[in-house]
Amino acid sequence: MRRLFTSILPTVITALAGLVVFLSFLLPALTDWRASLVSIAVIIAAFAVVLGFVNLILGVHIQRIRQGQGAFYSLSLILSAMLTLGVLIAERLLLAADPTHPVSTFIFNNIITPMQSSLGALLAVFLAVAAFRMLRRRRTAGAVWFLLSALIVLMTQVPLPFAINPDGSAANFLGQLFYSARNIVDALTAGGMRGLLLGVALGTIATAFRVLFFIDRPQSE
Amino acid sequence: MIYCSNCGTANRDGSSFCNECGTKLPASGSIKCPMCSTLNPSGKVFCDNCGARLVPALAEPDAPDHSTPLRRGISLPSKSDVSGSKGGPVENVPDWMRDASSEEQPDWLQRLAGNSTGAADDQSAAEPAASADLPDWMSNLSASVPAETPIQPASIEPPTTSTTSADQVAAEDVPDWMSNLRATAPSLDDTQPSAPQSAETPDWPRNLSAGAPAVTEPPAVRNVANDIPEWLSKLAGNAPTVPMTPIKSDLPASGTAPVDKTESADIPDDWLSRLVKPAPTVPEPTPAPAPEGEPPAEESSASDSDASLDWLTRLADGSMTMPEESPTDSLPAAELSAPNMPDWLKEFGGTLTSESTNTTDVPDWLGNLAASMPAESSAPNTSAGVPEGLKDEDRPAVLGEEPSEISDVPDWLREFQATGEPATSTAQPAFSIEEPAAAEPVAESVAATPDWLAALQPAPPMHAEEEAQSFEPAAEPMTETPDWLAALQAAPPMQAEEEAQSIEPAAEPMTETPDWLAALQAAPPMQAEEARSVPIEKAVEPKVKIEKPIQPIRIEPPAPIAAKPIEAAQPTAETEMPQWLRGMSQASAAPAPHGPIAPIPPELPPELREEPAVAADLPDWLQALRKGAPAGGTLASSGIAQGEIPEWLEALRPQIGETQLIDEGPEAETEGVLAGLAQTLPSVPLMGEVHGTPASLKVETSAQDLARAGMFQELLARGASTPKPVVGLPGRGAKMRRRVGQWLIALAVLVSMGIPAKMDLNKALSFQLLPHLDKLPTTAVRLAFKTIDQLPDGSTALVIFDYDPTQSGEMNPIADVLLRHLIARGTAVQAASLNPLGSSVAQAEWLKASSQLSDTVQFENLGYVAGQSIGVQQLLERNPSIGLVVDLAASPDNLRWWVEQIAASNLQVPLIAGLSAGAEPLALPYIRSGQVKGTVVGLVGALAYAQYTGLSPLSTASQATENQIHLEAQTLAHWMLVLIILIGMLSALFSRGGRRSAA
Amino acid sequence: MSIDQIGLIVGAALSLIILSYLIGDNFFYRLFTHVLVGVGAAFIVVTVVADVLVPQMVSPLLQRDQPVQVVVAAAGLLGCILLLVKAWRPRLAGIGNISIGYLVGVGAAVALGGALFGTLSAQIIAAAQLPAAIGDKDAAVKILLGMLALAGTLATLISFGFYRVARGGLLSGVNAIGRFFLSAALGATFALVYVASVSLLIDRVQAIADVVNMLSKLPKP
Repeated sequence: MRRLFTSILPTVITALAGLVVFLSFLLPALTDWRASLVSIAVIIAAFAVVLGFVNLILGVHIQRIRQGQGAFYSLSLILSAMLTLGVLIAERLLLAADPTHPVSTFIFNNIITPMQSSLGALLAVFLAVAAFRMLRRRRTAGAVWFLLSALIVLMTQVPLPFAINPDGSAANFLGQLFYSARNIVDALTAGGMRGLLLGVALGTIATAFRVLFFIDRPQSE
Repeated sequence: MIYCSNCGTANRDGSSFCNECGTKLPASGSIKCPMCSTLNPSGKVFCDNCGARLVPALAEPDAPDHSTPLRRGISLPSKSDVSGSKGGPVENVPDWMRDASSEEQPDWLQRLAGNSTGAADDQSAAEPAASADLPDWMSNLSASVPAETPIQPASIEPPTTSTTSADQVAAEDVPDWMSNLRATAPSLDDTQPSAPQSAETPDWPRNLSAGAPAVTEPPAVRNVANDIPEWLSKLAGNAPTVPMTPIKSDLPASGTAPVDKTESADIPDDWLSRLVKPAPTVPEPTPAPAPEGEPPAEESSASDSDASLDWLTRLADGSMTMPEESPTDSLPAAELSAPNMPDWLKEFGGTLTSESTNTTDVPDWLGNLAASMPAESSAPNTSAGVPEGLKDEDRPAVLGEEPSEISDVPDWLREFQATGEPATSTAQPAFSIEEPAAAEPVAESVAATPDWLAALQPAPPMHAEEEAQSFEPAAEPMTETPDWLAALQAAPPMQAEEEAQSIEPAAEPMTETPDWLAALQAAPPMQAEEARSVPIEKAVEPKVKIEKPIQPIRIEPPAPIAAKPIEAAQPTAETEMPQWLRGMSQASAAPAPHGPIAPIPPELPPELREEPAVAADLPDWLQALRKGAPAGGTLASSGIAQGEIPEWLEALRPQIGETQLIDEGPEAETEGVLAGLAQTLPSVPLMGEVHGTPASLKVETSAQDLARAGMFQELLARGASTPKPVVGLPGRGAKMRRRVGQWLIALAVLVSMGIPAKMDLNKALSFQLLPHLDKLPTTAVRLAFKTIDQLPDGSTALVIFDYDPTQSGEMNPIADVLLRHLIARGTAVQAASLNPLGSSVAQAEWLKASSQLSDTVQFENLGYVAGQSIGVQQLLERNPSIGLVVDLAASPDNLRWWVEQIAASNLQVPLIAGLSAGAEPLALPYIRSGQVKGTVVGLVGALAYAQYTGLSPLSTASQATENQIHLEAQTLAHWMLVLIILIGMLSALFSRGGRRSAA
Repeated sequence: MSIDQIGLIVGAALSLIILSYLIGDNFFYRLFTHVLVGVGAAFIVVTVVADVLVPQMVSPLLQRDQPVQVVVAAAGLLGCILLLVKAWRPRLAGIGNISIGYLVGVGAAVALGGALFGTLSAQIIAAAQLPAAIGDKDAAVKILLGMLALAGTLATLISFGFYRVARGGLLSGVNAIGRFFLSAALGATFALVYVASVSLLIDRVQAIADVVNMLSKLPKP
C-alpha cells in the first residue's frame, strides 16, 4: 500500500501527465488538456515555493538554533522573516483596498532592493580580483584564451569614440582591429554557445524521455 | 644410570623399574623438567636447563614426606616386547602422560592413586572384560578413573548408552570387586539418564554421587560398595560429611553421565565426600604391587567414614590447596555436572599446586595410581591388567558404542583413549600417561597384558593425531565411565567444593576433593569437553569425559602445552614397551575416536606435576608409573621416592614442540546436542590459544581489498612519525597580502567609476577617450526598436520581468526604456514575472516609467507565475492575443524558456529581449537564429536605446548628466579591468620567471 | 523628512553595510545578509500566495465553475499533500511523491517540447544557414565567421561529454578545439558578467551618492 502511494502512483502520474502535455505539442486537440495540466502544475509549484520557505525556517535555521551553530544569525533571520510575514499579511488584510501596497513597496524598495543590488555589486570587485589571479593559479592555454576573449569583449563592449564612428563603422585601424576582434569573439561565442545549447537540449530531451518512460524516477528519490 | 639391585642391569637415570627384571629401582630423586624434560636433582625448584619451575608454586618443596613412597606395586616392564605400543600411542601421548613418566609423580597422581583405590572398584565394573585379569586393587583404580568421566558428561554430551553396554559385557570377566566398581560406574554418571547398571551399583558410590557433584566418582564408589575394601567403605562413611553437591540433572547426556544419574539418586552418602571432609589421613596404602589387594583394602577402609584413610582425609581436607584452584576448573564441570566433579579432576586443570604437601601421606600405590590416573586413560589402563580381550585393536573399533568390543577394553581405559586429546593433555601435565605405571603392573604379568593397558596405548595416538577429535572421543568415554573413575571424580569434587561453590554447585564438592583428585580433575575437564560431542563408545571413555569437563576451566593455562603430541615419545616406547602395550599403542592410533590418551602437556603447570607426596605411599608399580611424570621434582621435595618411568612410557611423553597439536583443530562436535558445532564448549586453551579460527568465515577478498590492506599495513609499518609542518598554508602575512590586493583592486574599480562624477576626462585630456551618449552606436538596439515600433496599434505586449532586485541596477534602465517605448506606442502592457520578486520590480518600474509620460496605456501586472517554463506555458496559453513578448532577462535560462515555449506552442509572437550583459552570450544563438527579434543589452544598450528612440529621460538635464556619468564610469571600469587583467598576466609571468630563476 | 527619504537613507545604509564586505567579512554584513534572506523569503511567500494561490486556486474555488473547481481542487489537493506531508509529516513524505511526480512529469514534457522544437531544430537549422546572402557586402567575412561558428558548434557539441573520447584520436583533437571555443565563449561571458556587475555597482554608488547629496541638502536643525 505504501509502495503504491510512494512509488507506483507517482510514476504513473508522472508518465501520464507528461505524455499528455508532450502530445499536446503535436496534437492541437490536447491544447486544453495541456492548459489544465499546466495550471495544476503551476499551483503545485507555488506550494513548492511555500514548502521551500517552511524548510528554510524549520529545517535549516530552527535546526541551527538547536545546534547552537550561528544561532544568533539564524534567530535574526527567523525574526525578520516572521516580522515581515506579519507585516505583509496585516497589510494585505488591513490595507486590501490599497492596490499599491505601500508597506510592501517600502520594504521592497528600501530594504530588499538596496541590499540585493549591493550583493550583486560586490561581484564586480571579486570578478576583478579573480581575473587578476587567474593566470597565477592556472597557466593553461584555455586560461589564456579565456582572458584574451575577456579583454576583447571589455575593450569593445562600449564603443570607443576614437575608434568607432557613431554609425558603428570603424573610424580607423584601431577600430577595425577592435571590431574584427569582437566579431571573431562573437563568432566563437556564438558557435560555442550554440553547441552548448544543443548539448543542453539533447540532455534535456534524453532526460525527459527517461522520466516519461519510467527509466528515471526523480520523483521517487 | 641406575643399577638394578636385583639383576644389576644398568638402567637409565630416571627409570623406576629395571628394564631387565622389572625390579623397582631406587628413586633417583630427579625431577624431570616439564618444559625441557631435563632431569633435575630432586629438591630443585627450577630446571637447571631452562629455568622452568619444577615444583608447583604453592607446593612446599621441603614439606616433610610423611609417606615415603613405597616401591611396591605392580611395575610394568619398562622393556617389553610389545611392539604395538610404539609409535602410535607414544605419539599421541598427551603431555600429562609424559609428566607421569617422570620419576617423581605429581601430587595429583599420588592423590589419584589414593582415590584410585576407591575408584578402582568402579573401574573394574566399567572395564569388566579387561579388568578380569587385573588385580583387584587395580580394578578399583580403573574404576575410580571412570568416576572422573561422570564429570565430563556434565559438560559434554555423553554417548552414555554405549558405555553402559560395554561395561556390562566387560563386567563378566571382571573380578567381583571390579565388577562392582563397574556396576557403580554407571552410577557415577548419576546425572546421566541411563542407569542400567544402577542396580549393581554399590551403595557408597551412590552416596558419592548423591553428595558429590556430577563427578563420576560416585559411580566408582557405588561399585566399590559391593566389593569395596574396608578402607573404601570407610571412605564412604566419611563421604556423608562431605558437602557433596548432588549431580546436576543438567548434565549433558554425555554418555557416561546418564547412567549415573539414575543411580545417583539412590546413593546414600558419598563415601568420597565423607573422606574429603574428615580429611582422613590415608593410611599408607596397602596397595602393594599386587594389583588386587591394596587398593581394595584401602577402599574398604575408606568405607568407614570415620576411619577414613589419612591420605584420603588429607586429600579431602582443605590442606589440599587444590580446592582453591578447583573452583575454576569446576566451573565448567559445574555447569554440566560440575557439582560432582572430583577435586582431583580440578587438579588436572592445573590447580594441583598445593596438593603436593598433602600427597605425602598417600600410599605409594596410590601415588602411582594417581600418576596414572591423571593420565586418566593411560594410567588406569596400565595399572589394571587390561584384559587381553581389550586390545588396542578392539578399542578403535568399539570404543564406546559397541558393548562387545568394549567388553574387552576396560571402560576407564577407553576413556583414557578418548580423552587423551588436547584437553586432557593440557590439564594433565602433572600426570604423565607415559608413566609406566599402567604398564608396570602389567610387567609382572606381561604376557597377559591387561586390556585396559592396551586400550591406553591406542588411545594416545588418538590424542596426538586427532586433537580436534578428542572432544568427541572424550564424550563417549563419559557415558561408559567405569565406576572406579566415577568414584574418583566423586571424591575430588569434595575437595573442590569450597572453591567450586563460589562458582557453581559442582565446584563445591571439588573443594574437599583430595589434591590428587583435583589434579586429575584438571585434566578431565578437557576430556569431558571432547566427550560431550563424541558419543560414548567405550566404558573407558567416560572417564575421559569426566576429566574433560573439568579441564576446560583449569586446563586453559596448560592447554597450550598439552597439545604436544605423544608421537615423539612413541618411538622410544616402542622399543621398551611390552608387546601388549605396543599393541595397545598401535590400536590406539586407530581408535582415535575412542579415547585417545590425553597427552600431558609438557608445560603443565608445575603444580600439577607436584603431587609426588601422594606417591610415597603408592605401590611400586604405581610409583613406577609416576616416575615418568615431570612432577617428580615435587615428589622429591615431599620425600616420596620417585620411580623410574619405563622407557616406553618415556617415549610416550610428548615433546615440547608437539604441544601445538592441540591447537590444530577445533573440530565440530559430531554428536549430541552440539553436533555440528565447533568450539562451542570451552576448550582448554582459552587463554593463550586462538582456537577456532573460523575457517568457515572466509571472506572473499578482492584485489582492491588486498591492495588496501597492503597500504594499511604499509602505513602501519611506517610507525609514528612527527607530522611535518604544514607548508603552504596561507599564513597571516599571506592572508593580509591577499586582502590588501583585494582592497587595491576594489579601490581601483571604485576610483575608475568615481572619476567621471568628479571630472570630465574628455575635457581634461582634450581627447575623446570616453564615449558620449549622443554618439553611441545604436546598431545593436535598432532591431528591438524596430520590432516594438512596428507593433500594430492596440496590441498587447507581455513584458516579463525575469530579474530580481539583485540585477535591478542594470536591468531597470533597460526595462525603463522599453516600457517608455511601449507606452509611447500605445501598447497595452501586461507584466509578469517568473521570479517571485520580479512582480514587485515590475510594479515599481511601471510606476516609474508611466509617471514620466503623459500617455496612458493599459497596464496589468499578472504578477509572479510559478513553475518557470511551465509558467511560461501558462502565460502563453492564457494570453493568446499578445502581440509581443518582451523578456527582461537577467539569466539566459529565462530567455531560453521563452524562446523554446513560444516555439513549442507554435506561436508566432515576436520576442525581444532586454538582457543583462552577462546573459548576452547565451542569447547570441537565439539572436542569430532570428528567434529573438532584437535585444537591448546592459546599461550601454539601454542608453543607446534611449538615445536612439529619443524617449530617454535625456530630456531632463540632470538625468542626461547622470546617464553620461554612468556611461563613462562603465567604460572606465571596463578599462580598469583590462588593466587589472594585464597586470595579473604580467605578474604571473614575473612570478613564473622568478621561479625559473630560483630553479 | 519624508518616508521616501527615510527609505533612501535606510537603503543607502544597508548598501554600505553590504558593501563593507569589500573590506572584509564582518558581523553586520553577516547579520544583514541573514535579515535580507528572512525578509526576502517572507516577501516571496506573501507574493506567491497573493499572486498565484489566491487568484489561481482560491478564487476559482469560490466561483461556481465546476470543471475549473475540479481542476483547481485537484491542484490544491496535490499542493497540500506536498506541503503538509513534506513539511509536517516527514514519515509520510513518500506520499508527496505524487505531487512531485506530477510536477516532474509536466515539467519534463514542457522542457522536452521546448528543447525539441525551440532549441534543437531551430538551432540546427540556424547553424546550417548561411549567415549572409551571397552578394552582400561582407558576405565573405560573414560566411567565414559563420563557418567558424558552425565549427565551434560542432566542436563544442562533440566535446560536450556525451561520450568518452580516447586520447590521441581524431576526436580528441576535436575535443581540444571544442574546449577552445568554449574557453573563448566563457571568457566573453566572464567579461560581460563583469560589465553587468559594474552597472550594479555604479547604480549602488549612485544611490549612496544621492542619499549623501540629499542629506547634505537637508536643512540643518
